[in-house]
Amino acid sequence: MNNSLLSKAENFLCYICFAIIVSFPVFQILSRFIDIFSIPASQEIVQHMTLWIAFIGAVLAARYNRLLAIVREPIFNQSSEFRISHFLVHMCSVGVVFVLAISYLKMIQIGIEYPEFIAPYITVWFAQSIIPTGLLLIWYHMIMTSSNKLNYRLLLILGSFLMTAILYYWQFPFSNESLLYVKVISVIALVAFGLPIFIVLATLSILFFLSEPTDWATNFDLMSTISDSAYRIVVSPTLAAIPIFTLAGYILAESNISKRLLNFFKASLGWLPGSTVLIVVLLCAFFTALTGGSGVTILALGAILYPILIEDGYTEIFSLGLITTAGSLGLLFPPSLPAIIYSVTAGINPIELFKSGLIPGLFLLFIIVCYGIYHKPKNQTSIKFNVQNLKQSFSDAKWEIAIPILIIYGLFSGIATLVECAALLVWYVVFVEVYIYKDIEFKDIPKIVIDCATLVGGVLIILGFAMGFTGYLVDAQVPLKILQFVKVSIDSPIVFLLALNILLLIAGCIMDVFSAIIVIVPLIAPLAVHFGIDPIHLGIIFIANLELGYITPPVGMNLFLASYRFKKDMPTIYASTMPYFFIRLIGVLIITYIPLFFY
Amino acid sequence: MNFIKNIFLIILLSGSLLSKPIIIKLATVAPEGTEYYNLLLEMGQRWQEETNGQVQLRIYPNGVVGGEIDTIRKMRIGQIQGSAMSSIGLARLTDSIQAFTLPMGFKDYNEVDRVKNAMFDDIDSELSDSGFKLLFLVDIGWVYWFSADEIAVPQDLKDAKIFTSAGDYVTVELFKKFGFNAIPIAETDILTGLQTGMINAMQTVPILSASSGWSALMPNMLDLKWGAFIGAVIIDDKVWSKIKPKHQKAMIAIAEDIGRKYQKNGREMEVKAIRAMEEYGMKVKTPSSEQLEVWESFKDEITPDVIDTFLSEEIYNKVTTAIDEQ
Repeated sequence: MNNSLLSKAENFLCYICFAIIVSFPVFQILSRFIDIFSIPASQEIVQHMTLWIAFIGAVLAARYNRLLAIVREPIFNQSSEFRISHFLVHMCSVGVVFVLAISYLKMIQIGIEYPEFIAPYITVWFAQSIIPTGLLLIWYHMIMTSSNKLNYRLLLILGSFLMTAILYYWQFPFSNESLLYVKVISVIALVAFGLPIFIVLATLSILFFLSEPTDWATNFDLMSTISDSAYRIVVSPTLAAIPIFTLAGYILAESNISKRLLNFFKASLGWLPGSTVLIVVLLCAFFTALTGGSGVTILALGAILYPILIEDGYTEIFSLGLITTAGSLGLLFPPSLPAIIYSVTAGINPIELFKSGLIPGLFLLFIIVCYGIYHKPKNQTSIKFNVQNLKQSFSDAKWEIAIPILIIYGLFSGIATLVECAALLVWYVVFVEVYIYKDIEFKDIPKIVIDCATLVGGVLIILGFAMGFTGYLVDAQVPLKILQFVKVSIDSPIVFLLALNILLLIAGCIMDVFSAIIVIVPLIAPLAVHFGIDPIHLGIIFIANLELGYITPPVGMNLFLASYRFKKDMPTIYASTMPYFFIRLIGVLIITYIPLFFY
Repeated sequence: MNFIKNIFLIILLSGSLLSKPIIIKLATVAPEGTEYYNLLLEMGQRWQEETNGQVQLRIYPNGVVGGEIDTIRKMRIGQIQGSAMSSIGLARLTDSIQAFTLPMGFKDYNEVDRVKNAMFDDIDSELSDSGFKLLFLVDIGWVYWFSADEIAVPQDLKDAKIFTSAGDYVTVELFKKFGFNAIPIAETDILTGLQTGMINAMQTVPILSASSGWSALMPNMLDLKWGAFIGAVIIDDKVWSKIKPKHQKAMIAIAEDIGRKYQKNGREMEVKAIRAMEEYGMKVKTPSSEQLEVWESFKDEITPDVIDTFLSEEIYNKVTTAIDEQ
């Protein structure tokens, strides 16, 4: 197969999907005023485009070896050296992906037999066909990037065929309970060698689903329900906001917005004592909310903010810790991805969550700023306030200062839903950065779209297969069993919340935020109802807790990013973030228990 | 002694293995703790008793396995074996269920019951063709119009911004033919949609309006029976056919009894829900006789479109004969 032709085709499909999801919602808004703009089933099409972006993005991530894993060492690196741990990771990855792709063909077949339509002339099975197609392409790219040796690749191909054949002909090879746990532990062990997160989740789902044989479904039937859960979550109405907002964030990250905003903040707040910390925190929160806490903040802003802090007399450790921590602040503000994902999973409206999250979110910023001011270097000189400077920096940055205001106005005034707001923002950002500031040329946009799709695909496919695992938990009635257990063993909401805080902290250290939300929310939601805890307050506790997970050793994502960005070893990073970790922990506890923050 | 104990245990175990119980996983969007859920639980317990534990029912409430369309997909793949679903899902499996979507088609429960009896065999056989066994069929409520501003005549409805489910483009097109302003948004956006005025009217059953908090934002109900909302319990035929005939008989009898109970309680609960909403300030608008005439002529105007979209002439004729024969 011609490799560059395939890549071009993948990229092209990606552009089309993005073009649709950023334009259809805008037409949707217009159609409420003028009927000619109405596109039948517009929202449904946008939702399914998100599915396509998820899988094409994951294909791109596989192509560029950027599938998210807990260990950051690239495992698919075309090396010629043979290592047994790498081989196991490769074999597990390609085998599982291939089996998932083939098993989903059953769903497609059912879809063809009983056609359903998402829009006139567009069947559901056609929309779903991206799942096996995408998985097969991921399989192909994984094999191509696994090694540069033909024999090794052939071995992986044969291995995948063999796994598929075994699961097809031998109905229940996993039904032994005690062996099951051996298998689960060995899969988790592979995580340490770099097994991508979505494969971990998919493998666990397969192992658990097949451990409970049923007379009504074959192995392949059960496995197809795993990918089907992925389908169900990714096409939820609100989730389309994720790729769209991320695209806006990526375009901004390519521009000089951070410099302009920094100038503006310096001119307006620089005269305050200890203002540097305030400025760093505000900028980071703004960026994190906008780019979805994907770590873009540290990568994009780290290089600009770190020298400023050092210049201002802060210690190296303090500055490192502050930037690493601040990179995960702001997840309660619109349009943060974890908040959107929580809303989707809990079935609440994200706008309500953002409204209630405003005060707790500001509070978390506030305590970090207080800590920063407390650590202010003694000989710090503050900048004199200058109206001329302020005016100049404001007029430079006014189009970008308007962004958060526009987002908040758009969401809370009700002119548009979250997805529609996101689409409007993309057009606004393109207009501002390409035509007003001219930071970006229009021809750069395709590259940004591909970068964005790579990240979004990596995230959405994790969401999808986390949902596959949740599908098993629901099927085995685990939430119900936990509820029954908790009902007899915990009787006060306070104890429950404390247990929840601890559970989420642990989850935050070992799981990534996205799969943590998808897997844990369905387990916790019935308990919260039992204890009379409002789902929106629960959401705020969840996000504040998991925000902390970004900087919780050993695998908090920001820690890795900071180590990579500032070229420091992990222990240094751990040490620098420790004080912040404890301060924020106290903050989270305050948000959880003090009613002021949820009424 | 130990040896004998072990032998005994082995015999016991192998016995239970031979008569492995049939587990039916039943999904519904009805939340836990509701009347519907409790009755399904009761049905499961009675099935288990009646079949000596041969048939066990596991209920997945609150839409945890997905909406009704997802549930149908999962039933076809074999992960789920049964469902208590509404007209929305049933419409994918049987055309005859659409008989109940006729706008202003029914004046009272008597008429609904007559149409239910007349259509039962058709619905049953169509479900059977789709691969499902129908256990009971009940009405789960009248569909009324709820709105922020009072609706008295069809023109008020045409001026309103009406919620339609985002995935349901067929209804959107149909509403446009009626002259309605249909706003397709997702279910999760309903509450904010109402708060911000993106939508200000929707058709729904009183129980849902009361329990979801929508009624606070739409404090007007038009006392005009727009349609009947139907529910049914169905089981995958593959599973049903594995159950012994004598157990099948007992299970159907229990299911029918549960259906009757639900029918009675459900209708009473609807009255209570309306009363409760009235206590919280909801206004029920009863159209005057002149206004009713306007609605009647509106009905004649739109019925052909509904027949084109959802029903066939044949089903429509069956409905009208069932209603007309006294």
